Formats: sequence, structure tokens, C-alpha cells
Amino acid sequence: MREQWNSKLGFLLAAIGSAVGLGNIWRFPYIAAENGGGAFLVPYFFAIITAGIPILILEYTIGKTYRAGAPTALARINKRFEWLGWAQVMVAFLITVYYFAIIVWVVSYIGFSFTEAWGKDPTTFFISYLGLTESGTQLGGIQMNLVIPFLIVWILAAIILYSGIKKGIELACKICLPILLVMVIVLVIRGVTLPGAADGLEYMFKPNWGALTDSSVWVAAYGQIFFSLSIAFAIMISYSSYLPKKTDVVNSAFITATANHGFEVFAGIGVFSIIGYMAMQQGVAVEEVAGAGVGLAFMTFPTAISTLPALNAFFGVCFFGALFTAGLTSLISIIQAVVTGIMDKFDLSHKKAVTMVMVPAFIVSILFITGAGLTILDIVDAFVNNIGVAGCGLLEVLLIGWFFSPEKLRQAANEYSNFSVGKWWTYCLKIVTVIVLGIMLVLNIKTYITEGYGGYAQLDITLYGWGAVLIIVLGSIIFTSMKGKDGYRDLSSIAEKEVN
Amino acid sequence: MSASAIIMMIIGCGALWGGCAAAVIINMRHNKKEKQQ
Repeated sequence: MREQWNSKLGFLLAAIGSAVGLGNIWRFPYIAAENGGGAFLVPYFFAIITAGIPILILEYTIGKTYRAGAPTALARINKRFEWLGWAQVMVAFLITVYYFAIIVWVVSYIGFSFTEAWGKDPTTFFISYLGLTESGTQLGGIQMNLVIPFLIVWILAAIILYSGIKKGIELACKICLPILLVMVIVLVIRGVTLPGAADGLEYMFKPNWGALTDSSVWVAAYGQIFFSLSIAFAIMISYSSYLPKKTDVVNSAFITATANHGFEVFAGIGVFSIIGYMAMQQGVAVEEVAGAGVGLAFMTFPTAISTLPALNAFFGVCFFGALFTAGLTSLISIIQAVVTGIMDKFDLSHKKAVTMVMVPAFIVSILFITGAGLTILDIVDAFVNNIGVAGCGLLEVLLIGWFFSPEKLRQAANEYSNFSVGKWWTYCLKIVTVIVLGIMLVLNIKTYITEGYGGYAQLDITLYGWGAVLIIVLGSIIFTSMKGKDGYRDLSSIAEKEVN
Repeated sequence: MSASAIIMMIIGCGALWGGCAAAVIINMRHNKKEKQQ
């Protein structure tokens, strides 16, 4: 019998834990500041209502109704949709292997916080700590200082995943999320009480209303919502497949989305108030030191931590601890998406499926602790997210919206809901999200073809960027063509009964 | 810090956490009703 969440709260915490990831802490504040500041909230809220919540409701409904990971669930809707599920699973697999590396760095930096090991030049320290080579093709060997944290993260993830849904993922999220919240609250309180914090917050929230006429700001808002909610790469379908049939999905989607986005706005206050303080200490403008992603976490923030007046180690542990807990709960959800996909198609036990996923993932992720790790990670991350996830999302809403009856899914969603979702949901999926995701995908592909990415060599971009896209396509074709266990091909009729 | 930035910060946090709280309250009331039935 299929395992289920112990409670709805357990499911919600796992879903929020999946959605709240590194991007909430290190991506959102900068994206908001660069795209109109406070005015960014207008397209941001619009995107939550027209894309974030509707796609979450869609994925929760698919998972709960068809009770399987993305490939099998989509195949139960229509046998010809299975390939999309595998494409999403391949995206999740690729994200798994590089996400590990980031958490490995975070674990190391928790340790470095105690002694402020990064010294006066965190950028040079970070590059030397990674043993960064000049290009993605110069691997430079495995960096031995990364091996122990690498094994720690792998063992921890394995323990959680082998323990199953209730005793593993649900328990881990019940422990990690409160810790994450406390750490972020500590950072926000410290941040806003620092001199110069107002400058950082002014930079992040001062509205530039003129930005609303810029279409790229709206695309950025949809991109932020889309990448922040863990949608379109099999996670939410996988998680909701372990829900009891009578669970409400509409309100669950509202809770997940508002908690996730509320968290990122809140975390942004902490991050930018500390950045504002750092800028004041250095006598420079906030925009000169503000940044996002790996640069913010491992280069800018260590500097900020070192400039704090007291308890530097404590606040360093809080920041990197928050990144660790947010990253870990997201990581296990990404692996679980792959595990559920394999488990359901090949009718394997959960433990066997975990082994089948974690062994190859472990081997591939070694690539990211070599000297070329950061370069490869940056390229793979950009292509997998901006082409892989955006493409899978577009195909998902296209197939369900235009080649299946979203009305059937709306009825299924409303059946046990606290409140019903109206026809606006169907229109948002069929029209708004299709248009926005379509524009996003076309722009991303055009940019990568004409301009490349990040100033990297064309060979690196072709090998790791387009190579990752090719792996998604090939993986999807290969897994779809493989025959599942007995009866798998006949399940579409059972699924029809469940929907109607 | 300008008033407009403060207002946008409050709107950002208030609307999202307020929305989350409202959804949780609806859920709790719904559960309570179900238990009573």
C-alpha cells in the first residue's frame, strides 16, 4: 500500500520546505530591487495569483487524483503525456546533482563562520577554497577539502530518504522549518537594528513605478514565482501523490504559496538591512555591494558578517544555517521527485528506488566538487532552470490546458476543498501562463543562442548547458520507451474513474 | 527610509502573511466543522 503523509500539516510543511529554498534568501531580494523595488510587488502579486497558485493547484490535483509520480500520473491522464513526466524527472535529477554541491559549500561555511576563516578577502578565499579552474573542461581534480562535507550531506540525505515519507521527509521538515524560521527572525531583528539598514531596505523597497511599463519586469516577476515554488519539475506532483484522497488541495496551494512568498519577502528584509549596514561601513552605495546567488552568499555576506559589531560567529551560523535548512528540505524534495517517478513506473519498493536514484546521483555530483565545479554548476543551473524548467512548465500547461480537460481537474480539486476554485483558474492556466511561459522560454533560448551565458567559453556552454538540455530530452525518450511493471499500461482507465 | 518604501515593505509582508493566516484559519474552521459532523 502507498505510504501517506502522517497529517496535512506534515504535507504542508514538506511542500513549504520544498518551495522555500536558497533562491528565497539569495535571489528574491536582488530581483525585487533590480526590477522596480517596491513597485515589483505589483507584477509579483499578479504572478502569484495568475500563475503560482493555479499551477500549484494543478500539480496538487494531478498528484492526489492520479496517486503517482509525474511520469505515471501524466500517463494516467493520457498515455502520450508520460514523456513530459520523465522530462520533469530528468530536470529534477540534474538539479539534485548540483544542488548537493551548494549545500556542501554551505556546510563548510557554517564551520568557517566560527573563525571567520574567509579573512579580509572572502572572494579570493572562496575561489581558493573551491580550487577554481579557468574553464569547465579543466576539472582540476577532486578538491579534498570538500570531501568530508560532501559525504556528510550525502549521508544525511540518504538517512532522510531511506526513512520514507512519514519518518524521513515529514519529520525532517518538521524539525528544519521551525529552525529556519528562528534563524531568519534572528537575522531580521539584528539586521533592522543596525545603522545603515534603512539604506538597504530603501534600495529594496523604494518603488520605481515607471518600471511597471517595462515588460522584462513582468517576465522577471513570473520567473521568480515560477522558480521559487518548485513547480514543473515533478516535486509537487510527487508530494501530493502521498496525500489521502479527501485532502483539500486548493487551500493547501494558497497556504504553500503565501507562506513561501511571505518568507522570501521577510528574509529579504534581513539580507538587505545587513547589506545596507555593510555598505555604510565601507562608505559605498548599496547598489555597489548588492548581489544575488553564489556571489551574495559566499562573497558579499561573509564580508557583511565580519563587519558586524558583535557576535559575528553567531550571525554567520544563523545565515549559513538558514541556507542549510532551506537547502536541505528542498534537496530531499527534489530527490524524492525522481524516486517517486522510478518507484511508480517500475513498481519498486521505496528503498530500492532511493538506491537506484542516489547511487548515480552520487557519482555524477562528484563532478561538482572538482575545481571546475562552480563553472559547471553555474552553466547547468542556468540552462536547466531557464530552458528545462520553463519548457516543462509550458508543456505542462499546454498539454493539460489544451489537450486534456482542465475542467475535470477543477472539479477534482474542488471536490474536497475548503473553498472552490472558479473558472478563472482554467483561463489562467490555458492563457496567461501559456503566454508568459512561452515568452520567457523564447527569450531565454534566443539569449543563450545569440549571446551565450555568463561570458563562459562556447565549448563549456555547449558541453554543459546544451548538453544538460540534451540529457533531459534523451532521458525522457529512454524512460518513456521502457516497459513498466505489469498492469502499468492499463491504468489510464482506472485514472478516468477516479477523475469522474 | 522613505514613506513609500516603508509602505511597500508593509504591504509585501502584510499581504502575504495575512493571506497565509487567512488560509490557515479557513482550514482550521473547516477541520473543526468536519470533526463536529
